[in-house]
Order: sequence, then C-alpha cells, then structure tokens
Amino acid sequence: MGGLTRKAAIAGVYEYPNRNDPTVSENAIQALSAKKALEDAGLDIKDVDGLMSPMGMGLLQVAEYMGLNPDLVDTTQVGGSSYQLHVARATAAIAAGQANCIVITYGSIARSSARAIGTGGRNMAKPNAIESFEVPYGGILAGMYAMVKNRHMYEFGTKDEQFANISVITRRHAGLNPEAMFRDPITIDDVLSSRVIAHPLHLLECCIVSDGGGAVVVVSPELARSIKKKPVWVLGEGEGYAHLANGKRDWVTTGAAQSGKTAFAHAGITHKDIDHAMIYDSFTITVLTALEDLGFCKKGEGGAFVEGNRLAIDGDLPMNTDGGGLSSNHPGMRGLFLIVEAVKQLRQDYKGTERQVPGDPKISIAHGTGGMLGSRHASETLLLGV
Amino acid sequence: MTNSEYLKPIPTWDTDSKAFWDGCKEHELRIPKCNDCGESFFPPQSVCPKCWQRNVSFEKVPGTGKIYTFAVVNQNKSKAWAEDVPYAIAYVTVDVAEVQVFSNVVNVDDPFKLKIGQKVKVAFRDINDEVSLPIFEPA
Repeated sequence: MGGLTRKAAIAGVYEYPNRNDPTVSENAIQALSAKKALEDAGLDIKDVDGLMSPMGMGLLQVAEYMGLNPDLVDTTQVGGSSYQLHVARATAAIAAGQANCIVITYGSIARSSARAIGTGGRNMAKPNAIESFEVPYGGILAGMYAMVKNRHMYEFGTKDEQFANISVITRRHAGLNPEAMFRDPITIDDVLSSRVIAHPLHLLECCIVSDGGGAVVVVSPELARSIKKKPVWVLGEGEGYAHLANGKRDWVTTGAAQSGKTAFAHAGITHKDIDHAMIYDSFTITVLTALEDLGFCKKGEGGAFVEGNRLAIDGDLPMNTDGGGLSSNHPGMRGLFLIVEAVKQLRQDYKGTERQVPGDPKISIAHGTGGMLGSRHASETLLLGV
Repeated sequence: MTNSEYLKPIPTWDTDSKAFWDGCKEHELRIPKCNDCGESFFPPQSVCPKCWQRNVSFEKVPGTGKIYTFAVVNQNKSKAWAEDVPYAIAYVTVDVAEVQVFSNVVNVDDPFKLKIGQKVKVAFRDINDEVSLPIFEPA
C-alpha cells in the first residue's frame, strides 16, 4: 500500500470571501486567513511550527509578515495544484515527526490588480529558449486548453453540449454559495452562445478572475484529538506530471492518470467510495479529462459521464459544490479552495441547508491541475475522509 | 519587415536550440535526432531525452506534416496580435521525424474550418536578419 493514510488531519480551513478587494495585500490575505483557519480548528498562533505556500523565497516575506519562525517550510510551486501537493508534503513531514501544526496559505489580488487569468494573453517581450517554442506563436492559456478540447472532440466525438453541462451545473452550485461571484442560472445554450475565446472554448467554459485566498491547517493525530471540529484525515495522495513528452504526447491524457492511480492505491479505496468531488475547473476540458483519467469513467467516455444530473449536488457524484473556478472564484491558483470545500462538506458544516451534500458523505476527492493542459502540467490528487 | 515594426515576442536560443534556429534562418526545418539510440525529439536539446547521451544531429526534414490538434485564438488582449485574431495555433506532427511541433497555421481563409489530420507544410517568417520563425500553411 504505502502512502500516508491517516498520518495527519486537516484541523481547520478558511476561504477569504472577497472577490474584488482593493483594500488588502496578498500577504494580508494570507495572515488573516491563517488566523481564521486556526480559529476554525481551535488552535493558536503559537501552535504553528510549519508554513507552506508556493512562493519560492517569497515565503520568507510571508513568514516575516506573520511573525513566524517555522521549523519547516515548503515553497514548491507547481501551479494551481500546489496546495494538494503541500497537504501531502505536510502530512509526510508530520508523519516523520518534523512538525505538528503546519499552515498552508494563499493570497491573490488578481482581480483588483486587473490580471487576466482564464482569458488573458501570455505575451512575454523576450521569451527564454524554451518559451521560444510557444510564446512567439500567440499560444494564450485558453488556446492551449482549447487544443486539448478539440482533440478530445475529434478522437471521441465528445459534444460541445456535454462540455457546456459542466458549466451549467457548476453555476447552479454557485447559486447556493452567497459568496460566489456569478450566481444567476445559465443554460447550455447560454454557454454555447457566449463568445468564443479560443475555439472550441467559449467564454462560459473558462474560469473567472477574482481576488481571493485562504488557509488550511494540517496537524498530527495527537493534536487532531484536541481540535474544535471533526478532523478530516488525509487518506491518500498522488502526483502526476505531464510535459511535451519530447514531441510525442498523447494530449487527451493528463497527469491525473498517474496521480489518481497512486492516490487510490495508497488509500485502499475505489471510486464507489467517493461521496463528493472537487475537480479543478480552470476550463470545462480540465474537468472532463480529469474525471476520465482519475478513473470515474473510461477514457473517451467523459462526455456521456458529465451529461444530465450526475455531477449536481443531488446527483450520484456531487462535484464542485462551491461553484468552482467557473463561477465562484479563481484568483489564479484554485487548488486550496478544493480542499476547503471538501473539508466543509465532510464535516457537514452546511447541514440543514441546500448546499450540504445529502446523505452522510465520508470521502471526498480534491484533485488539482496546475500549469496548462496542452503544455506542461502538474496533477495532484488528495483523498480526504472522516 | 523591420524589427521595430514587429511587436510579437521574438524567439531566443541557447546552446540546446541554436542549431534549430540556424536551420530556420536558412529556411530548413531541422529536427534533432540522437545518433546513439536513433530517437527523434522536439523541442530541441543537445542531450538525448531517452539515453542521455550528447550525440545529437539536427536533420533536415521535408517540412510536411499533419495537424495533430489546433485551436483558433479569437481574443488576445495584447495589441501585438490585434490584427491577427482569429488565428490558429496547432501541434503539427511533422513527417519523417514524427514529432509534434507547436506553431501557427497561416494563409487560411477561415481558420475555424481547419481540420485535425489536415496536411500542412512549413513556411518561414523572416522576423529580422537573425531570426526566422517556422510556421505552417495548408499543403
């Protein structure tokens, strides 16, 4: 089996609610969120002995901002899925006895500083030697994902309407989230009549641009016994990295094929055990390929899988119940919010409201895709359970 | 076209990719191939990604190929591309080397009507005296 099953628990979470907030800095969002996540757990600043954020040396500025001298840091940056990786790294560090209480933080003012993410350009005045094989051709972010969607439609006959249904259901979930940026219901026709950003991707298939941030607190089993709320355990973790494969890439298969296989093997569970799914939704194609590669359906059958009501909160596999990056928030690296929502659903924080996944959800998958489909990307899978 | 009129990013190179861009300057598409294990690969590098030996030749290929996949960029906020939208980006699988090359497909009336599998051939856009960019057009 191997892996990190129940070696650490998520004790507290927080999502910074403001989607457009010119009054805060990115460091401030991280400090405020860390404090709230510690309060959520019933822990104190002095309990923190580890700090993680995908910022390279910038993490030391955050540590300084928060007045922390952590025993352990991790600054690994693999794009939007960095936070899945950090929870796995935090769990490994705790299992090795290197730390007991690790805070993972994120803060971004992408919207108030007017940085386009999903639909923006990718233009560098002077690309480096590697970038020179993409950037001079105007390969914008959405364009790279659009090439994968196009190939998927070509190989498997996947229909635009099937992709659009992902946007429709995600928007329905955003309607249940008062903090979501876009909450009005949309139809498949609305998606397909929205303007083309990069054919075959339409505007309403692309993640939005917001401010945001948050924090997650990962603790040792001993500390987990003293926290305020129900601990949510790390059951399994897996990583998968995909690149151009030296010019021989199967572009419709993502790193999730590798990360998912590892995570399920480590946790010793199957897809039937999953009650709730948080699947990184930078674009509709990101979701559809991830569901296939994680093994929820066979490769090429994702189109039929996402049809109908299956992914709705009252469906068989409730997915992206916070409204996702397509409708709720996307400040650039959304992976942390997948963990926050998974934890809240498993703790049944929304009990008594329409937003709570019905039944008694025990296991959630939080799967991140960082970097770019159609280029280099990092797939990180976390399986969480109560 | 002079350099000052060219607003788009201009390629740069290092010791891994210089031989490729040298070929482009002469309007030849040269794809790296390992002399030890026979592997062709792209983007260029001076060490083989399969056997990790530094014995790589850049071999001229005919420049023909097929579109593996493409997208039509319909919105680009940079003014460098304002007159280009909508334009096609694509992975082209080039003949002989059978590797995917990321590029543009140009000289098409309607890029939305391109097809995956469509035959294309390389052309070169001379950016300045030093740099020519390999692009593709319908064969």
